[in-house]
Amino acid sequence: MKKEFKRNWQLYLMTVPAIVFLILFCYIPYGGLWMAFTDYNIIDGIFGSRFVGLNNIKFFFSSSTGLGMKSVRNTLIINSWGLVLGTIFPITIAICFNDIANKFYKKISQSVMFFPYFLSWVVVGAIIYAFFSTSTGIVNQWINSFGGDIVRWYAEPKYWKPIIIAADVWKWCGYNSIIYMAALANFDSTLYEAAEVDGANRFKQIIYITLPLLKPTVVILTLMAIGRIFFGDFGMIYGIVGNNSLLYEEVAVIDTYVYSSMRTLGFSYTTAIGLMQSVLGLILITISNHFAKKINEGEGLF
Amino acid sequence: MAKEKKGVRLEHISKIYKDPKTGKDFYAVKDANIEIEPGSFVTLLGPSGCGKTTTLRMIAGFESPDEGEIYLGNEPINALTPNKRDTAMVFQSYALLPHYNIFDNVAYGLKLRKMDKETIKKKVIDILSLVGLEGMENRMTNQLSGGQQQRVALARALVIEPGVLLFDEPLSNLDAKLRVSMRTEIRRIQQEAGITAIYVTHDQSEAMAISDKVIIMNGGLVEQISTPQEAYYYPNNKFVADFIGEANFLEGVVKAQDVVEINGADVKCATGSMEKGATCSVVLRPEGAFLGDNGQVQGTVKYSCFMGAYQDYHIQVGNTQVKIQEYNPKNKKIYKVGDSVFLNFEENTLYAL
Repeated sequence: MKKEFKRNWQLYLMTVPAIVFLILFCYIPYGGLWMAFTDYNIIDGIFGSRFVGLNNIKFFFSSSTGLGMKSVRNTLIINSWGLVLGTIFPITIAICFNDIANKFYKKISQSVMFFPYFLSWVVVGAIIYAFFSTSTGIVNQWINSFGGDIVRWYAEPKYWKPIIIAADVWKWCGYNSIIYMAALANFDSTLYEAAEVDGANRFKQIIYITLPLLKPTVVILTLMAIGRIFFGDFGMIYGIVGNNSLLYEEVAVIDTYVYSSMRTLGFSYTTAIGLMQSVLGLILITISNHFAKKINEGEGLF
Repeated sequence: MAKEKKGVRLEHISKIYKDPKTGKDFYAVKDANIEIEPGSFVTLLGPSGCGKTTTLRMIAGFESPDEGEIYLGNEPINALTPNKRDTAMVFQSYALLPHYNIFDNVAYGLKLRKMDKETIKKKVIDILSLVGLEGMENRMTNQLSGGQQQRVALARALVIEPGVLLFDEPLSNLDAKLRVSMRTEIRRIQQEAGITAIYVTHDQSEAMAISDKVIIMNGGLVEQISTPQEAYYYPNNKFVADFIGEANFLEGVVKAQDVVEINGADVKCATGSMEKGATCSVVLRPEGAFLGDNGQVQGTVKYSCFMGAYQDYHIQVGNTQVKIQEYNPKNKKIYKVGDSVFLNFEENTLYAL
């Protein structure tokens, strides 16, 4: 070890800035997690404030509005659907794009699918408003032209989980399909030719060759998404629903709830919730990694 | 496998590609006329880019010819998809499904043909014993060596009982020793199965070792179709002479039927139908001449090196340097650089182009 260090000290020296950065911005702030277990006030400081144990987290689940528990539920529902549909659609699109023979058309359709990635959630929110606005929205005009009764979308909470999930999948679809297309491009083309000789049609080639070969990529990406399943997309919820109090309860995720309660309940409380998200994510990802290794011939995330 | 052997016939086959850089069309294969007899082992041989793989892929059905017609037996097959052609292919990269074991890889084609389980099992076991993999059905493909994977690929192609078996450089991913034993193995299996085989390679010794006939291609053109011996002794042109084995080209003038003057000396040389007075290139193989203090054509030693089995010489004759290999050098006089020597030609070794 000492010898190794002596021989390659220049290389080790190069890691110093990165290590300093990590210590400064990732490990030292860990000390601040202590706040989660205290009743923090700015005068006594992080370590001087009164220790309250897990009271902050208890309060989250027992708060009178029940919003804490609801936000956990909403986060899990929205993210789980996003995870499932956000895997199926990009793979389908990647496979379809991969089979487009005309290069020009392939590039154009790829760019069109990728485009939503560049939009901010605020813009997406505006687009959704253009669709669902009660008086001027496209959807209501459409319903009207068929003689149906218009829907007051922004006053009906039950529609908004599907709308948000759809927007989420739509925005990331093209971006995620790029990852799958890169994987597809690496597959040996003779595998398909051999299957063609054996008499497999395009559909069977997808079932028997493409999907099994994509499995490791899908598993890794899914594991990474599971690690973040307790983290709601704050920008997405605020960009689409904003401060609409009618819809708030239906779509509030942990992160938006933390944001709104930080102003009234303070730092300790929100730190506790952030810590809880990470710990739960860690537990989930460890469990799913264990199962992933079983179905993926020992290949997991770690 | 009692199946009717099928021949393959290519009539005026051409394939045109677009050069991606210049955007110009060029012939990858031009006006190829090839007749392959049923049950024979034929090799498409040539340097990279000569059109051999394109030709094979057209026979397999992965490419369609722009001109001409391909026949399998007496049936024109241009319009048929690969699985309707009664051909099977062994790929360079083996093309095995990584998530299947050996049995499932071999059985895949049969399953798609909707055979019943018992038949499939029997056929797969039979084929695996033919290629020397009996008892290994349950291994995964990533637990196999390169040679074993190639055997699985061969079994997978054979099991669907094709009329014609196509090989696309199947041995080029194996190490040199395994290549030699696998090519003997492929030849044995082909003869046992009694199947027509078309084999693509750029390795001329591989082609010579296994083929009944070689088809030598260059720049999209078929240069010669013949037995390996004919290609070696009677090449159609300089390219074939140079590509098959090593060749020296001596400048000469035809003096009479089967007599050519080389560097002032008249020597016996097959001239075919060449006219008297015509200039020609005389093909001389390195082992086709021996050196002596006197003899037919004079030259000067430019290079002399002991190689174990033979002594390697470069001899300046007129304007050309000639490579000569004298085998068993222990019993022969060794010439040094600068020595003046005479070349003596073995009977029937010179061939004028």
